[in-house]
Amino acid sequence: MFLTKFQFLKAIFRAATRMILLVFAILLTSPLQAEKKALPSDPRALYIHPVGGQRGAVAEVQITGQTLQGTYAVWTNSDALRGQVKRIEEIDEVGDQPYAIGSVPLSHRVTVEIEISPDAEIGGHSLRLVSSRGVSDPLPFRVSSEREPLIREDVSRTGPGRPTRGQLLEYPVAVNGRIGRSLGGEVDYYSFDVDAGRELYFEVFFPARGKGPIPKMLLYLYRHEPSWVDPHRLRTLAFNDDPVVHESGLFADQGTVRRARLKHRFADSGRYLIAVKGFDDRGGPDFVYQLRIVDAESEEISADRSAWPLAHSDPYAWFERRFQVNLSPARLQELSRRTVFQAGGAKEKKGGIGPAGSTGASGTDDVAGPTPEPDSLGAVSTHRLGGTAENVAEPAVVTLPAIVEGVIDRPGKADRVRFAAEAGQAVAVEVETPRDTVPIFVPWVQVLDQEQEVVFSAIYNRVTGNNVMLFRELESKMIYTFDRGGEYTLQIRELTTAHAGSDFAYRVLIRPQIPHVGQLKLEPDRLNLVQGQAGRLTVTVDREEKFDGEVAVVVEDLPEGVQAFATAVPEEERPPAFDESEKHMFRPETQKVSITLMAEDGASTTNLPRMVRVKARAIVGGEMGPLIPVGVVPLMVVAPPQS
Amino acid sequence: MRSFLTSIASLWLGLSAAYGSHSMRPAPSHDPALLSARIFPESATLREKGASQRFLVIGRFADGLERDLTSASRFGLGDTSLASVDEAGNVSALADGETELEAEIQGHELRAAVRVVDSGRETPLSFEGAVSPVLTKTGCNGSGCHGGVKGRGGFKLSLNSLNPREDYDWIVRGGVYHVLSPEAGEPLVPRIDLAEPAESLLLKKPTFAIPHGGGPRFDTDSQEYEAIANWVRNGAPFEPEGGVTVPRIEEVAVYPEEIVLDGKGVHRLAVTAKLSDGRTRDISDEVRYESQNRAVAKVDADGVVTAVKTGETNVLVRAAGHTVHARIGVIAEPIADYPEVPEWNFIDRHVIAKLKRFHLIPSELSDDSEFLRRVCLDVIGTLPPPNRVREFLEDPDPDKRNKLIEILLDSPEFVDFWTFRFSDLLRLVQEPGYSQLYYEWIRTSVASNKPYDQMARERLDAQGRDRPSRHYYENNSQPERILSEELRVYTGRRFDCAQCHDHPFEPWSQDQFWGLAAFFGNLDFIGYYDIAFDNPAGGYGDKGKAGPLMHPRKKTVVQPAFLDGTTLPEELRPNQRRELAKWLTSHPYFAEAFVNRVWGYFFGRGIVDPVDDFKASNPPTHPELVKELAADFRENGHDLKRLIRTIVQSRTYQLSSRPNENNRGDLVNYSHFMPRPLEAEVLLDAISHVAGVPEVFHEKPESPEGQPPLGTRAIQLKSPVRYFSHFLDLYGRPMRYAVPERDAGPSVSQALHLYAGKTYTEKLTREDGRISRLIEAETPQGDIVEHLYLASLSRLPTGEEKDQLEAVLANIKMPDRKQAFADLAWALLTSREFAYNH
Repeated sequence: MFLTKFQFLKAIFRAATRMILLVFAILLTSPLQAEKKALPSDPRALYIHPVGGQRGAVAEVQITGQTLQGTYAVWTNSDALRGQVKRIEEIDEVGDQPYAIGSVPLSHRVTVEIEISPDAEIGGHSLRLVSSRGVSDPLPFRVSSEREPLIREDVSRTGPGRPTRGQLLEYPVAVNGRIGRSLGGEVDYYSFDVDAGRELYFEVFFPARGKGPIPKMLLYLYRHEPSWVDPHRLRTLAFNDDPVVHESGLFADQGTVRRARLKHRFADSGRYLIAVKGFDDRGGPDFVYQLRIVDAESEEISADRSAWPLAHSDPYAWFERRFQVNLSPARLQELSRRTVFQAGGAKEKKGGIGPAGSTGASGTDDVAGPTPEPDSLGAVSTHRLGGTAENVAEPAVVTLPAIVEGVIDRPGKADRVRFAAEAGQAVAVEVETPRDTVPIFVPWVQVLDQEQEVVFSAIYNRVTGNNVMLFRELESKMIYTFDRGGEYTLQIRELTTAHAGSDFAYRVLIRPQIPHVGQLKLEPDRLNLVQGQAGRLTVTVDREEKFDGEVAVVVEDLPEGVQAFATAVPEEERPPAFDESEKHMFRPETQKVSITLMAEDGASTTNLPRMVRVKARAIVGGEMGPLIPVGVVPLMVVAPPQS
Repeated sequence: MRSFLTSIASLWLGLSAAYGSHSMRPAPSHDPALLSARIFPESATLREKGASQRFLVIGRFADGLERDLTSASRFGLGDTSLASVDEAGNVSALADGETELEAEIQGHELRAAVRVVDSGRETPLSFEGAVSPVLTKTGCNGSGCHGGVKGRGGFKLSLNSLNPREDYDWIVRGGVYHVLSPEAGEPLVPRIDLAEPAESLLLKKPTFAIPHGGGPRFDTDSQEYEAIANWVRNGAPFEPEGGVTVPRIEEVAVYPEEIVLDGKGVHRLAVTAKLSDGRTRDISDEVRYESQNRAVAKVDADGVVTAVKTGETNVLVRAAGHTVHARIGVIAEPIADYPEVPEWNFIDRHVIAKLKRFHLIPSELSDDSEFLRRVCLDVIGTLPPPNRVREFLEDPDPDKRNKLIEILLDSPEFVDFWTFRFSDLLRLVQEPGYSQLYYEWIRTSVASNKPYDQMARERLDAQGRDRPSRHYYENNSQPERILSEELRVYTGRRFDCAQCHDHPFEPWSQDQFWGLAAFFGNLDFIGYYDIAFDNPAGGYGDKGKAGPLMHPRKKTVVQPAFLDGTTLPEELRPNQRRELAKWLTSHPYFAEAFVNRVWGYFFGRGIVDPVDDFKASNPPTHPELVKELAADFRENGHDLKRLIRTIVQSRTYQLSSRPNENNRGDLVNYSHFMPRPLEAEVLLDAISHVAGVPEVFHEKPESPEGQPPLGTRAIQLKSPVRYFSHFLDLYGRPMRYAVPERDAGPSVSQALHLYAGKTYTEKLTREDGRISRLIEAETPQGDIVEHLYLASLSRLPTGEEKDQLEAVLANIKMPDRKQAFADLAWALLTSREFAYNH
């Protein structure tokens, strides 16, 4: 034996360590077993791999989730996609846990073939699975261009710790991949050759599902460059600097960002590596991604700056508090379709344009019904601010309602216009950033009085969480009622004094307040009704600009044997607000409308989802506004599960 | 096998002993010849009644030392009606006129001009002239007494009479000092008695006529008593009546600034004040002298310094809000014939000049192996691989060291290591979403060798989602916390104390602190601290309420103001952090602080040490060197690589760590390279390198999840908080919650880990490890031994080591051979030669 005394000490240490670990193991095991959750009764699709397919091709994808036995159909939101179930596997092995959805039990993996029409729209689509237990929740599926070969990650070459064997790619290309392991800090490396002077664009999409942490991925660009001490060394050239980690809640209009981008011009010809890695060194079966490499000059680069560009716009979408809302002179008419006006025009009130009296709208069509034409709103004038300092020294005078456009093209620039307001006049101010947007360009609107004191500002001091934390948010919409009449100045600048650019374009609409029905949020995203049982739909109504009318909700296209009932639901208890002094300027009042759908015992089961349409209508003093589309919900009637 | 164990143990003990501690030797005594002498000052003007001047006679001796010969000299005056002189060389004014002071020492005659003016005029009576020097000299206004943070017993004085006006008010008007209020607390009882001066508290307390916590400070028949009593008797004025202005002390100088004493040495100091009217005055009797290390040299109230034992210290001289110092070296043995030492660059010029003055002979140049290991660990934090060591050792190129330095500076490992260094300094703490951008900013800055001043400006003025703006999050956006950190990082100074009160040891006031803090007073954040910007309405502040920054004591709005009190013009306030960044990066403190910090990385201690504690009472060991390094850094684009190149190309850096008989006790003068423990991350990487098994990190001790890519080294970890590592914690990695101070000191836990820790044991026997691979490749036994030495110590085994090991290993057969090599590797890894950079 060597070093006997040392090994003796080691043995003592190891024995003690084992004992401690054993105690920990006992302590940890019991609660974990106790927390194991049961499977849901209806189908739940949790993640998809790969995340997309190519136009004109057939893609084979696997969807993993819960209660997917008996899946027989694939439902898509586009006629250009047709799906077919190929295989259903039960999952019984214990593998890497999905990161985002946490430690839920997975029961099935369904393999489906998606036939993608050559004329399918490029961008994000959605898929659902259908079984006798109902329709699943949706999963994203990206259709890519036929001009961009779509391949799959070769896991034998991109696995952990293999930078020198990175899968060789030729661009343009899209690659479906996955950071599949939760251990080992997996990084997927891809290699490619490039000529000096060429600029390439890399982007990686990574859809997020579930309520847990959201997978985030990073792009790193390397060059293989042996060093004096390490022949396998990589030199880091670039890293994607997009705000990949921003999630909803920071800005009212920002959802989870799920696209990392990187543009790089190569100074030298040669072979390079692009790496996809999980933020925080994470991975898991749900860390699926689609990597694209295209020439930066190519038109294949999406102009859509959203994180997950959709193939087609959502006809039911209505947004108010986002910087990418489209502000045009027609905005007032759009708003007027979501309220009720007096016959013969709107009544001018101190608070703005008020809904009252009868309406000229017949309200029979759900989207394009007769629209009130409130003459008193006046024409929206548009003012384009150019130059640099002249509009600061002597700001132009505008008459409300007005749109002001401009570009913050140098750091510290503040654009200004003047306008007159009467005491008691209620205005709404909305801001659009048609090109760069938050957090790159953060437009800050303030209204100043004649003494240049701030009257109101787009910064909202919001109390959150446990009512003791205060955060500032920068808002794209605010309302205000002037105490005093006089001349005011509207100022818009980038929040910082350091940033500016030709894409720092803004559009500001100052208009009278129009009390109206704002965003209508419909939940859940699907409904599987068991014969003889009930399910509930909830519509959350935003009452914008002090809309104080009623909101009626109707459900249409219900299947035979299913009926809808207005439902009273106990209100949730909320802790008293700590300070809501500014909230009315930046947040609408919200209200929930609940409708219970009941399937009769004898209601026929449905083989495919029935698209149930939900609509709403503003009502003031008995007068009705036009129908407002809320959304569609796939609904199925299913037989009770066999016990 | 037992003999192998013995061999390993003796090897281990041998490797460790090479870097043990050393003791000083007593100095031999001898009588050197006096070569020359000089008098200080060469001329003096004595102004007003009672004025005096201290003269010093200093001789240069054949042994190379200068000695104070004042007390051994004979003094005389040309005209004794104009002035008088005592045996100690103190000349006092009698009548107006000009004469000469003559001094004689061992046949050397010296002369100094003496001029007496206004000898009949009384010095105008003022608080600053009469009382402040007494308060300073007797230590009443020292930091341990009434000059402390809260004063003492309700009586507060400014440190060393920094603010005489405030001191005057506390004495004449009375009242109790409160930290959080500018108002004087009750009772408002004056501390002097104009009607009965002798009843003044200001006299009764220090003479212990009534109980005094500070004990007796002077007697009733002392000059100090009389100075205060006379001032009270004359109405206790702050300034003389009739509009007479008393010149203020603007500068204080001590002579000599540097003294080298042998074991018996005694030397007197002279202190001169430069006044606001341009004149100078001897204030040697009005100041307070303090030795920073009385074990090396002591000093009495008259400024007489006496050697105690070999070493180096400073005597601080405090007067009228100023602190200056004289550097004192006590040497063992003077060297008459100092050898010629080559100078490779200006660093050597400064270091060798001081070594010469302090009679220290530098060690030999390091050998190639020593240099290679040292420079790799210091520049890239990485041990060289065995093939590179062999290649370097065999390379006959005389310029190979410089070539290696260039290779290392251009390597990706340099980027890793200095990103790690900056991540420590700039406090990269993992918070989801923040550290990634911040880390990448640091890394790309290092990779592009971004000028350090530009890095500082980008960090200080970071706005929006600029990558370095993330660091503001860590400070919870409080201006005072941000300021403390920025000043510590960028000026190497600790102003934190001045946040709550005037700095207790330095002349920094609370007003100065808050004036600087106000530059961050508008810092605000949109959305969970995400978008940083300057809010004209005021910053995030306490509890998130926007509002102007308030002075905590005066309860007034603080305006951004620079250290000299100049407030920032209104038109520049929209970009006030940018203005602060401009000012800070152009201030002399900026470059000095950084070069000193980098110097500390390479030598284990700063020229000012601790590296972020520049202050009058902590002077640099080589003041001219730090100035020239800073000037070179500033004038060459704040270029980090150039600075590192300058340091590692110096002969000083490349000296051997083996001390010679002369310099064994030197700890601060770079006469030999000082071995120092490897930092935790570097040590762990080095062990992984020798074992050939990468460390696997993960997020939590109980969970393997959150692993960085396989092969990630400890110096590549973004954040200590993010990755669990018992080893790194044990060896003192900082968590970076504050500007990090690494604690690389040894501990019992480390010792136990050496014996039983996984890092030292399991890695060595792994199937995929270096030893297994060498055995599987049927590497000859001798080659394996050499390989392990090259990998761990960057050298080949000595002949003796080789012989011993070969003899023992020859008798060991498989499967025990693998364990034997593992034990050899263990012995190497646990030796001080491995664990130290030397």
